[in-house]
Amino acid sequence: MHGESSSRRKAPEHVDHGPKSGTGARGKIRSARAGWILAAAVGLGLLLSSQSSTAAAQPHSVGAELWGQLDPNVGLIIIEGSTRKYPYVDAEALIWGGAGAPQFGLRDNEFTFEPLVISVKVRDPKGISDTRLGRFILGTGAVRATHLDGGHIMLRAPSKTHFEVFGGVPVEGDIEGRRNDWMAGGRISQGLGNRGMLGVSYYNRYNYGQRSDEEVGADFAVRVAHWLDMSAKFSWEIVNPGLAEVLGTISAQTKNRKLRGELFATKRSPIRLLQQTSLFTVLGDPGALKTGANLFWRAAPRLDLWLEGAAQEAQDTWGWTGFLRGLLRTDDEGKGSILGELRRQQVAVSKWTGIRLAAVIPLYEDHQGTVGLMPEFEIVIPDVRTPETGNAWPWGRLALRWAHEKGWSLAAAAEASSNQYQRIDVRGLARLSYQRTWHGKQ
Amino acid sequence: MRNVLAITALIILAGFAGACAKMLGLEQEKEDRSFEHRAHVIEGINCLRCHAGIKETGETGPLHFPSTADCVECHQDPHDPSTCSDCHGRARNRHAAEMARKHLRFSHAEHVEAGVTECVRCHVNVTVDSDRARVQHPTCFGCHAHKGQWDTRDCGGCHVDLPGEMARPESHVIHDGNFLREHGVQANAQGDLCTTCHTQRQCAACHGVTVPTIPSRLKFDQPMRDTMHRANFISVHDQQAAADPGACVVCHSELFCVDCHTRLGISGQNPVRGNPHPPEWSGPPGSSNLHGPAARVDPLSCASCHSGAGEMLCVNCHVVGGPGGNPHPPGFSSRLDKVNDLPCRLCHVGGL
Repeated sequence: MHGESSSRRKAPEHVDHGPKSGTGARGKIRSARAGWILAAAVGLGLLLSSQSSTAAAQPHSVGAELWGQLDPNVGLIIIEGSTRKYPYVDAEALIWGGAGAPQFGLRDNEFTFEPLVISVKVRDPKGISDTRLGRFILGTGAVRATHLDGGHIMLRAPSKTHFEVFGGVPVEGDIEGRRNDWMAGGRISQGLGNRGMLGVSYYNRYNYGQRSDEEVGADFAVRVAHWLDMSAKFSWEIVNPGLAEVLGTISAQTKNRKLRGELFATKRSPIRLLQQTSLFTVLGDPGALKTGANLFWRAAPRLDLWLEGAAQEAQDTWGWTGFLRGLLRTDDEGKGSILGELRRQQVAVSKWTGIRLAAVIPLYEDHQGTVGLMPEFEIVIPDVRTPETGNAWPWGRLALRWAHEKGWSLAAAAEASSNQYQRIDVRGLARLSYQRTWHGKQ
Repeated sequence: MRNVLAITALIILAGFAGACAKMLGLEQEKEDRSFEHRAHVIEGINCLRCHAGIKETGETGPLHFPSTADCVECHQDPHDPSTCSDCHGRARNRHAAEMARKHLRFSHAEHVEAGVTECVRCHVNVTVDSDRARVQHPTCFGCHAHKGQWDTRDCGGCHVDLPGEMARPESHVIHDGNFLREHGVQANAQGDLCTTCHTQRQCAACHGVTVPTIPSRLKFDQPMRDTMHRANFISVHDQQAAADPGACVVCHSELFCVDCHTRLGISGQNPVRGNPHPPEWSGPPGSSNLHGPAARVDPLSCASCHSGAGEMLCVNCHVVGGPGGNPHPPGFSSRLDKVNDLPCRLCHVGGL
């Protein structure tokens, strides 16, 4: 992100963990500005040039989306394009901009732009290789979703064996702080017929030139039968040896998909998920285990119900968490709907009950557009109530949206909340967006 | 009198049940059903009688579904004045066909030119199950050698815009239940399958950790959207972090917490803030020193304010020969270099 940041974190003894910070340098703003202008020009060009195109026989597609929002003053420009001429190429850019938003450390006269995604993926028509370069989200095997400036190559053998290598610089912190911060790794996976994948992986990560993570992992996702699916992954930390994370899920559904049940378990080692350059990793690992079940039931054509319950370990104690949620569509097409949810959490010091109500109310519809009203309300009632924190933390929002069939959408909302941090917070939000994809058939 | 009350109650109950049935979709306003293809086939009615012109259709153009006028050519005395397709034929199947016409690269005319003149050769299900009239993959692959493309998730040869086509995935990638929790392990195991429909922007909406583009903020007009950080998440974020240790640092670093807490003036690095800790939080050896057990059961809570430069606070005491003693648990081991690497060098000066 942005702000004054990196020097603040340069502590005595050069204790700098900057790479994982969420702040950025001013210089970055200047460098990003050119990228923003270029992207906007390209986007505008595409918008204008494509107005005259028809859905003719073109193996190319271009999509553009523009977002602008007030309070906080942020915007997005999204451009996607692909071509299926040799080689197959997919390109996408997602650029965020903010101005005078104190929530993000920007004073009134400050603005910044941040490219979240600028990536190009090249694929040969036979599907033997995929190569992605640029800024993107990497998540494969043992690697938890990581925002990366770098590359990812996948090679596919006819035996359904996949080889992956990846590497780059994690996108966190400012340019200065990211010096010598990098990661690299690989994965080998084997397809199990048409039933799933099984893989093993390895990656390491350096933080300010020092080893901060080194993990091996295994993963699989298998469709055991048409009604039964299983998937799991685990990762083992090598720097501070021990289990870093295990996730597993088994789900079964009826043929008509009206009923789906799932058993799940997660076990995490917080100190091994931290970068090993943090002092807190030398403390004992409290561990965190969560296991439970989830049930989805389409009780009626317009009524969906979810029920979830889990036992959870935290801070050396056991507790439980669960919710019941219902969604009622008010028409057959699902244009209108009402949602209700009751949630309870009772784990360690986290003890609260929450109620959430939301609705989508279609107000007007014709062949050119729709108008809808979206009220949303939530209240959290903590078990421990003090005069300082208050007895309940309500939050509410009323949004109105007009959507045009050409891709324009205008939405505005009023939002109010009260919680333990702010006695009252009222704000207005507005958003203008434009979304369109041009493509054709070959 | 009692009977009258009972009957009245029954009538009200029945009315309520009827209203509920309608609301729940059990009693639909327009109750569509599968089209009676089988009955027409048995009657010997040629497909082209209703789907006239379909053989000449390329990749674009009309769908060639029969209109009410076509139906009444034979059914001269319709039982209902409404449009026939309101009830005969599923609306969802028509919608799927419209989406396919728009987003699928397919030409009936080319198949006819290639000698495939029998409709049921591909539409095998129309004689038994009109709900599945659309051709399935195995039927296509019976003639077309697409196994390679199938294996390598190369769908673009036929599916011009798979997300736009709104083709729902099968089995283990059904996005039902609590897919928000499930999707991570699925994506890690078979991410290239996800990319057949999803692009990076959808990952970055939540996992692009540098700036907030989370759907609950930018798509505030879609309250039904499930997201990890719902609106109002801020009011319970500290409790969530305490209840599920490690969940936050899967995406965020502890310094992400410090950044925000510092900006709001509630971190350990803010010089003007008050001490949020209770008395006896820390003291000389022998005192209660509540911070020790607290740090061991929830080290990430400490890290959310004291990471980075704040860690120096710890090593003032927890240093070799210092009053805090050894903070390592029994069996602790690490492959870090004690002399050069953080955090070892903070305490192990000179490798001691």
